Amino acid sequence: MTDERIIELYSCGMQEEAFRGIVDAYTERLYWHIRRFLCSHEDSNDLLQDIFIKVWSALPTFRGEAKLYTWLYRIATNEVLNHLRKQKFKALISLDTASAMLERKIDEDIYFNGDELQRELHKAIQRLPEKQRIVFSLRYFDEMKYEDISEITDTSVGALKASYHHAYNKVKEDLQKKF
Amino acid sequence: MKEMKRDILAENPQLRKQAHTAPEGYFEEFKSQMKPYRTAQQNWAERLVPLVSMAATFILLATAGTFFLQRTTPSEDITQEDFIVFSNDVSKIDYYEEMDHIADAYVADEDIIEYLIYSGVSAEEIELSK
Repeated sequence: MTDERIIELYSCGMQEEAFRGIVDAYTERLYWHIRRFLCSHEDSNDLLQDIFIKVWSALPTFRGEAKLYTWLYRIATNEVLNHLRKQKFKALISLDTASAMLERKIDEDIYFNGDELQRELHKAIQRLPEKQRIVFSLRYFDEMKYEDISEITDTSVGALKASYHHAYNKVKEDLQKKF
Repeated sequence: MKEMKRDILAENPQLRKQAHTAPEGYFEEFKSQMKPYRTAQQNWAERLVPLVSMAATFILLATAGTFFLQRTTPSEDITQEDFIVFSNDVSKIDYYEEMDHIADAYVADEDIIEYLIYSGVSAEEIELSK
């Protein structure tokens, strides 16, 4: 189902059908988006459910000024950031660092089927600052336009380009030290 | 110099590919189970129900508490019933002892005469009573 059709259904008062359309069209995309940050299937599954609950409750506030997909990614990204902040706090209590915890999750993830270079790439991403991690993920993996990332993150295109440039170089250097 | 120009991310386009998998049939199951949550879009009346329930519970507990305290805490006001109970506790011996004590008190003759004059009793009558 296209975004236009989903919005049409919603404006006709068919909220549940519109929601069903969103779930059908976006479950996989949002799952992979959040999975790259959380490094665990279980955490991603829990968060994905929370995201759709948020989407359902926030649907009446969707005015169609933004694209549906950037609106959904924005909700998902905010939820990811909230989750990561909680993890950071947990890591602090266990005298660990959040990135070390996430790197360990990558090593323990039974659903990771990439090669060694991919594993190191994902670990290097976890070492990036929050904002750079988001920009890098959306640009590098999803090949999203800067204009759309700007809508999702509420950051100017110029700042995003600079963030991506820094993130790209850091990840590259990290990998080139090992391979 | 060669190392500077090298770009491992550009050299390995497979890095952009998905490195994770999801359990078999996960997405189908997720989509079939993900239903719109009615509770997420309650109207004002539905939202009011738990608040009213909480308020009613509070009032009920406060009323029961007040009633219980009134029943268990002794009152400061002495009722007629309390007086009767107290009077029964005072023995007759105590009462007579108190009366004897009053009778023992000394009153001078001059004071009695002064009192009788003040009350309007004539001097003859006072003289007769002596």
